[in-house]
Amino acid sequence: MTDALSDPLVSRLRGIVGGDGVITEPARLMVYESDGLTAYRHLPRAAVFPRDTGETAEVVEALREAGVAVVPRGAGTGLSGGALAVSGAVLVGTARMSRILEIDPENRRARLQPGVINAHLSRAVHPHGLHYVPDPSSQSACTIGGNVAENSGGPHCLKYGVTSRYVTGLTVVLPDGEVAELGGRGREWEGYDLVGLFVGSEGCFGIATEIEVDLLPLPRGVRTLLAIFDTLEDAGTAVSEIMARGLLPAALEIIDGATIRAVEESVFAAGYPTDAGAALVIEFDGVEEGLDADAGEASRCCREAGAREIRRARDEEDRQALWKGRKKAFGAMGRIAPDLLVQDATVPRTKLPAVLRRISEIGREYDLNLANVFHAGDGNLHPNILFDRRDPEELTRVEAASKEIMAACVEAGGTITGEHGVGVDKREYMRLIYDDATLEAMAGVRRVFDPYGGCNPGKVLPDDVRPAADAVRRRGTPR
Amino acid sequence: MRTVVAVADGLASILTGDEALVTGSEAEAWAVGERVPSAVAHPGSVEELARVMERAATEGWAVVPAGAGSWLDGGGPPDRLDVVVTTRRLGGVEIYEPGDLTLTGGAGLPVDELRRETEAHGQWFPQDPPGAARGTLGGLVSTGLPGPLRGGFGRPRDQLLGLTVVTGDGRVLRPGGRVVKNVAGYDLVRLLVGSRGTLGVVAGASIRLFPLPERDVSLLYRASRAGDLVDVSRKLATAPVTAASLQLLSPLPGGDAESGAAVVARVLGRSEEVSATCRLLERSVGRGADEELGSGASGDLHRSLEDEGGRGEVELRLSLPPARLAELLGVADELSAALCFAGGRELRRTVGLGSGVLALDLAGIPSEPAGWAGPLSEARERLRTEGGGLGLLRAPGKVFREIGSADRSEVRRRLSEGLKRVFDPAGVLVPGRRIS
Repeated sequence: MTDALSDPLVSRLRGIVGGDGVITEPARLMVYESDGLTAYRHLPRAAVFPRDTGETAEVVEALREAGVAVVPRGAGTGLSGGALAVSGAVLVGTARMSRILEIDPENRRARLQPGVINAHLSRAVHPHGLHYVPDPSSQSACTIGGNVAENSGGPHCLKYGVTSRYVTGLTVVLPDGEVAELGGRGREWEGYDLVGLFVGSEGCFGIATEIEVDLLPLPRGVRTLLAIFDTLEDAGTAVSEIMARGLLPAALEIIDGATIRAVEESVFAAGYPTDAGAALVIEFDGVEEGLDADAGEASRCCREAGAREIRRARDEEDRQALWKGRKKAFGAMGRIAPDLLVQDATVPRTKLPAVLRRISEIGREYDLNLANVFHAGDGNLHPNILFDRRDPEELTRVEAASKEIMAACVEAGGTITGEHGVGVDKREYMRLIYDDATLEAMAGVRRVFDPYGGCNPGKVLPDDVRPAADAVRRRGTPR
Repeated sequence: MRTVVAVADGLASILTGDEALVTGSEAEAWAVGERVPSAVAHPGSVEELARVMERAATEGWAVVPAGAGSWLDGGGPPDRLDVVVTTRRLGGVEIYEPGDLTLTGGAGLPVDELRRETEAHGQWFPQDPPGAARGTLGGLVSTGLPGPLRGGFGRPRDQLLGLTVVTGDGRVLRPGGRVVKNVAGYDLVRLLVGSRGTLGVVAGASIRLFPLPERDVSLLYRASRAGDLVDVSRKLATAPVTAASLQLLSPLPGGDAESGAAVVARVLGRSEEVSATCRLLERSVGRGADEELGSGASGDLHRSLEDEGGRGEVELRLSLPPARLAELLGVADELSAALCFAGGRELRRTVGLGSGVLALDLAGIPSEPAGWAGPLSEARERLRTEGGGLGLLRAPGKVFREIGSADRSEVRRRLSEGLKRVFDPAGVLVPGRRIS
């Protein structure tokens, strides 16, 4: 446990954000000791909640001058330990920056503060017939600022793309407290794509304090199907067949048998058959015309792949019911085991069946309880490991199995994270996919934004990666 | 030593294969603006390319990376030039598993070959930047320019999954990957896309593909002047459905200054969906289109549009928020008149109605660049204060130097210079080119 902040520093911070914007009491800081990945816990020395760009800049500057590291935090729903306050850091939270600054329906864009909750934005623009597309499963809690930091995805990203496609401009407070305007619609040719670089930088390049996003018209119609299969492989075959026919569903999600049983035994019971091997949620959206044909073709694919039952939503209430098992999967798993490790990796779509087989083998080898929920259309897997961290022997097996699962995904041509980020959790896996030169370039880029190394330290890159400029110097004059 | 002979000798010791090295008068064909290279290198592998760059950094050779050479002077010519390094021998499709809807290819892969290959499997890479069919995959990455399809599919940055890039000092980087969802590490891919050779030589790329649309229809609304189409344009841009591309063209491809203007809404997708979307767009306008082009004709029109793009001696981008289309056209009128008075000739203008970006292509090099700098700077100032901007994509070096960088933010400049040092510590890649 690191020392408390000095009194003069606390006074200075209170002077910037007001007395109620600074928390220093350990008991009140407990809620900030972890994010959605509860396996890691670290009590921050303090949590500070600025109200706008100016206050954020002053807070960051004050902390830098005092040599205290900064860890940005949105709603804390992240699943990679990205908001963990290691290195005696102070959390800078965006909870009090939760205003939508401008909705501009004529130009289909909005400007907002980072603490706006994802679902609130879509609700606010709904009267204009618009919506904000990326929809992470945590959308009723997670913030747009957090989405920017993580480059979040969601079920509907299959058709529409992830956060970075929709963020057009940012006001950011850099790690030294300076404010920079990046991008902005209609200014895309002005310099390097710093917006694209900032999105997904996991809080290491600064704090976004204003975010400009593109909005899209609401789809006019939607068709949702739920197909039940005896085996996970059959569901996977249906997915391949749907994609091979050139259909482009808005979402294509698989819930495996273990997950179905967890959901059905919980308060979230969605009426999925508990003896099923897998359920596949398929959604098409767009203009009304053609949706029935798409849904019909997808149904045929499912039936040919061996689906034993196909349900079709008749109305919005039905649709929510079909989605319920998918959306409540993580919540339900919390009930059957004290701890849940939500894994995240992407593999090429055609490798899904082989990788799924390998994952279940790994589960058996390590005698672990595994449950799969995933964005099948994108090849984005979430193999979840249920365990009890009070059992140190089991924890060791969980870690070993995780590592093997990651290695299997990488070996299949995939990557170690599709949407949850690296955070503290996956730093050591970075070497599975990147060579030294690439990691050193990433470290070099990080140092351009954060020469002092005080912004979200201990995340994304392994500690021993040296920034590229140093690496170059170390090698001396090239031959 | 940077004499022609020293450069050629240095390269000859690295490059293998016939015709890997070009010098003398043949190298003149690869001049970048007014700069003529001492040599042109066509490395045959990523390793060779890396050794060329390593040597360039040691010797201080100024390098311009090239694909097919169709946008070579985009972003402005360099302050000095010793070697043009091309990717023409790094072509070819490396990995293409249609079921994955992704493809990995060498930077030198011609875009038209990429299109043939993917179309044979009922798929496509929905990016149509100006002049794309004349270019390479690597060129598409390095220029990063969007085409009309940005409305439906985003910009190249949004469909690029991973890159192989050789830095200014010969390091080989492989950021990103070849799967469609990947957030591992910082997004160097987006940083490199559109960096116009200033951060590295793109050697290969992985891209995301989509199923070919079943049907391709274009709705045309015509008028004698672009200004008369503002109302139609706005109604289409705010319709409750989006077209795959929505452009105001003046003139239509193949037309001249007298042939009028048209708004073209291109709708792609499944058959029923396309018909319904077209009817909804027409309902938003309040009347039927003047002309409806079916699959063959719609594709042809857009191929011609793409082909005519990127041929101007001067290429500008002007922007305002899309709702201010009338003002945007007004600024373009004034600017074009001033540039034409000083020796230019407007070839065409194309407005992306969803993005609010106007592409202005001109012919004719000004005899006195100062005569262009004034109007350009004025237009840029005006657009910027109203929430847009002006970008110079291609122009004679004199014009670039005269009007200076578009970006006056001290902090952004510091970041950009820092990034440049990470990727090109010796400063040999396109010295003097600003990305603006």
